[in-house]
Amino acid sequence: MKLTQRIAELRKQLTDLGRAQMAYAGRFMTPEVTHRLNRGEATQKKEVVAPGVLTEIGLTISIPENATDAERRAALAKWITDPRHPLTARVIVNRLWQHHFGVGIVDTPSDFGRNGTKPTHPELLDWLASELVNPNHKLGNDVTSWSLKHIHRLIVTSATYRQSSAANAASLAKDAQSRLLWRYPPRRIEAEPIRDAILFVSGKLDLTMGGPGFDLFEPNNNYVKVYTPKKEFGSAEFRRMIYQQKPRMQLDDTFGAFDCPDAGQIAPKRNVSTTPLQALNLLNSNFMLQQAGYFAERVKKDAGSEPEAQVKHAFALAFQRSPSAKERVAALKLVKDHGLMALCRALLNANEFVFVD
Amino acid sequence: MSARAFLDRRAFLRDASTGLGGIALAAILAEQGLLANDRTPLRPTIKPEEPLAPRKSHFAPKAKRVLTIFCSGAVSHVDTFDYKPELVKRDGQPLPGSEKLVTFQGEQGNLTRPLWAFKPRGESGKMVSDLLPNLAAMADEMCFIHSMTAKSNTHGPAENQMSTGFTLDGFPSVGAWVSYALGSENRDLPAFVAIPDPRGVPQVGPNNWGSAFLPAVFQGTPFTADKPIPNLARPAGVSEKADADTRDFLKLLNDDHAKTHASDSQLMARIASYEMAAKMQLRASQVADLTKEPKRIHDEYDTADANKTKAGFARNCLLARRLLERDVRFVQLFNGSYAMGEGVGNWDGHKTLKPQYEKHAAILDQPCAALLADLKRTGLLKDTLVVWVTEFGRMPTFQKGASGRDHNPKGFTVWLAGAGVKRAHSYGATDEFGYTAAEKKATIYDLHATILHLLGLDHERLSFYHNGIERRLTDVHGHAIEDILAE
Repeated sequence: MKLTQRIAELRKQLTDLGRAQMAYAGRFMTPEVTHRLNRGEATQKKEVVAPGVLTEIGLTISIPENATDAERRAALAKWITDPRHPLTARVIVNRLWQHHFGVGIVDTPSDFGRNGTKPTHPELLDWLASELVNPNHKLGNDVTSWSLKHIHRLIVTSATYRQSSAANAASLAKDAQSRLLWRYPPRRIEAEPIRDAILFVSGKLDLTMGGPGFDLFEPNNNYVKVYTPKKEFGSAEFRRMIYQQKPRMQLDDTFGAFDCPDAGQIAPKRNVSTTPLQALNLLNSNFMLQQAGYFAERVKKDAGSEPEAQVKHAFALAFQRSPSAKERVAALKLVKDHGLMALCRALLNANEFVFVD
Repeated sequence: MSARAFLDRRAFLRDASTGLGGIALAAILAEQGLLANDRTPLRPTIKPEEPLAPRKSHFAPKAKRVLTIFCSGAVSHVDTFDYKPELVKRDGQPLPGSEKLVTFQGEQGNLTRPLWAFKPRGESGKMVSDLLPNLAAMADEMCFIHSMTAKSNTHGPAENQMSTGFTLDGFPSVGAWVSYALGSENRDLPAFVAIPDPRGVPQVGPNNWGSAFLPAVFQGTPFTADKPIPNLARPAGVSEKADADTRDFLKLLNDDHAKTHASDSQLMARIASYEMAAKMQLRASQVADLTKEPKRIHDEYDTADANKTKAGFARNCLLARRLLERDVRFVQLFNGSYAMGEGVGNWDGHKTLKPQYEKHAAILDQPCAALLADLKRTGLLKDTLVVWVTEFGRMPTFQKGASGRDHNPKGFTVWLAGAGVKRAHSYGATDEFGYTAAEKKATIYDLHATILHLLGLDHERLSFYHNGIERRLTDVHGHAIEDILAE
């Protein structure tokens, strides 16, 4: 009796094991033989070709035909990251430059060479690339090769980056786009930093890094998921927007309009557009109204109940300066007539708030 | 946008400095893209501060604006617009060759006659079924393509293809291409509006009106008669006076800021965008205010029907007409939604086609016909292109063991009406059962090429450089269907 029971138990265990979580898993294979296909036709196989790299770019390497797939990938990785490769380091440092200045030294970040535009400062590009690969100009830190942080530091401590954005007519006439960096090029910040900045100023920003993200859409289990934007937000949603669980095709209904790319696409460079829908979102969305409220609360808490002090503090938090005499008078009137939150709502919509200059 | 430097004939002629008159003229013509056989890409110049400013078409357009009516779920063409007497005759017999046939949901049963009777309509005598009697009465306005084909038999990729030209995600919709090419005459409203069905969106939802790699400003703005543009309205807790005063203060801040940043056009553009937002709040609320329409119009569309879905769809149709008469460039009206699954809220009649289609026809027919009639009566139809589409057709057979039809991308019907297309015309044909396109096979590339052509755009030259490719709506395919173009 015990034995039959035992058999039944074991059989059940076996079945249960068979119902364990399914996974899609890849399997390593011996690479197939590759033929050159005449005119790209799958049925017109010509001579066998061995794995290789783009010989027009940089180094030639040789990968034996019988190399395993792991060996092939390693060879490709080594080729890409070889310090003598003309593209890799230049492309990387150009991207970093683009993030700090709004436009790269090459303004076609995914197209170097014939299909792209020329670097505005080729020697600078080369120098930064060589600093990435072979750091020389150490700023007193333990810097290793391929350290992005090193390049970030070089850029943001440079005189170029720390320039004022003040304009003058003569320079504008020659280089309106500031491509030659005669000033720091002012620009509107992207969607995510706008949201982060609003949360920062309202005092609600949760800087916790890592872990599961947050959702800006209501939970939905439909056969075809419906994305309904959340109308109410709590502390879970007050993290940096980089932690938003971003559905591929659906943009956030407040900040998406600020040129968030379609998440199903690569976007080496974002467009910058100015549209009335952006204005409507920033003026009227639930998120904004709620944050304007929190901003006002913070100002009251920090600066007390005197409108003069409140106005001064609100400007300090949003713009890092004192209001001009004209602004002070107008702000006081707005606060007197409609409350501190009205002022906060306006400050969060101002050009000065969303432009970096 | 990045400038792309390449050596081409245009640049060569411009740079050649022999000073001969002929070369100079050629250079001027080349600059304007007017040399015969000039196939170079035409990429509209977009000003970031005014991305929707109206732009010229490549040549004189017939249509100033487009209305697409997308019936999602795949409408059975053999039960609506594609009359097949042989299908009637051989009802109950197997489709020849169907033993080897593999379709979307599995085995096929026998050929099944159309579930509604076909009758001759209008002056043209076009055979249209009784399923959609009001639309059938408008048959004389319609230009049918009976030989349309699609690349996929699955809703998602097929919706993608009908709306973006590609079966994969990540490509701009037709409306986005048109906004990119032409901008809008009316800056107080979005250039491209998508109006989802009251029951929800089709399977790939926002892909149908997305901008993908085109600048985001060209994406469609989704809203319906009952769900306004998000964030359009002044927030509940803010009074009108508070709102106005807040905006005035904002303007003061921005004007002062601009004084010390005199050069930045982006700042000015942003100031302008707040003014446009104020106008849009007003205009968008006005356009969605259907009470302004006379009772007779409401009755024709049937906006207060006891069937709430029909009433909602009717209001959407009326909204569409109001948007078009205000020169919104591209309106995409949806009928059917995927929220509830197969066939329940859409035309995907796999299992029980008859009762489902009776429900859906009741929602589509009267309001859609009223919209078409209204466009005609107001004269809008003269310079508006109407395109009725669905993602693919259905089988002439019933599914084995079910009373419905499976997917069929091999041959189905779409129709156009209005600006630049022939009235009372039929192009192409399926085989005798309505199974596969047999005469003058047409592709969705052709349909898109035709739409662009009617807007005065050369589909082979309208492009956007992205990821190493000179992107086009029609990829590297398609041609405008000359046969359906009116003289």
